[in-house]
Amino acid sequence: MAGDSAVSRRVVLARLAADVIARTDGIAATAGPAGRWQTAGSHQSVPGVLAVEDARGRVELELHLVARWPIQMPLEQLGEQLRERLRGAAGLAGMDQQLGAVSVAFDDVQADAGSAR
Amino acid sequence: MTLFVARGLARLTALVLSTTLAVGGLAVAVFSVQGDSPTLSLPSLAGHMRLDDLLARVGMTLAGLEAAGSIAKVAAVAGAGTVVLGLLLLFGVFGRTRERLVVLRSDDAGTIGARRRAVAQVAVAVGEQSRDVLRATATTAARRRRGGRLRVKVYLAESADGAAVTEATRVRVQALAAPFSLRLRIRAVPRRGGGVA
Repeated sequence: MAGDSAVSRRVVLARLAADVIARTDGIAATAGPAGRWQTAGSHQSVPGVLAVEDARGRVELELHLVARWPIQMPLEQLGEQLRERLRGAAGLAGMDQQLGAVSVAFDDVQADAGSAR
Repeated sequence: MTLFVARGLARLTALVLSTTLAVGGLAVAVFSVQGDSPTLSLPSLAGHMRLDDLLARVGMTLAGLEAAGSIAKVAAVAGAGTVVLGLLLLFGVFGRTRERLVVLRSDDAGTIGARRRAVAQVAVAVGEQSRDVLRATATTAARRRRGGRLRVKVYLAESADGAAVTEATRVRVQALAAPFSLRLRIRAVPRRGGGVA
């Protein structure tokens, strides 16, 4: 049962991150050329988000993004804004204690990021 | 590079071995249809495969291996080579490519960074913003923890002032390079003739 709840926590937080990415201008999630960067859920996968449970039982997230050119703000600021929004969303969902480190990787820059999804 | 070679070698070996095993298994299965020693029997297969000759050769080789001499040396070298090949194959199967990020910030809350290619793409886009630049190329090298190097090459239009374009490009690209702690190097290449520093 503990394993099931860990899996569902991972998937819920991954979906939460995907929602935050989708609502943030100038970026899109990418699963990568080989589709490696995704979290497998029971019904569908969450592309662009890797969710892993750490040793303390918290869920670490790795967000893989395509930035849309022209970039509207410095990448560091964009990444920080994304993390803040994600922590806010996790707090609203009552999952802020379960959210561990959030890493942000800008993997590509494209004129139209929509095709990279 | 080593990982890619090892991975290719491992895949090729797996393909060859699995194909050989499949063909061998099929042959054994076909020659197991009949018992004793008619056409489709295992003794017949052994006869086709000349295993009697092989047994004699293996016996001679093993005898030579026991004595000190050239065969023993060759066997030792072959054994060492096989161990190295085995390690290379394991590396090819289990090795993972480390995709290094150019790090902007890294702390307990996580890492914010960009792939080298993405940084180079932005540098090219920024470098090509000038009318005096026909096109630009960029390469990024990342250090293990933080920082690295960004090299931008701008190809100048015919009438462009190389020094002025280099400086203007440096100012623009520096805004990108600084947060990543990248050492910036700009090189302007005139349309005709050699490069301009």
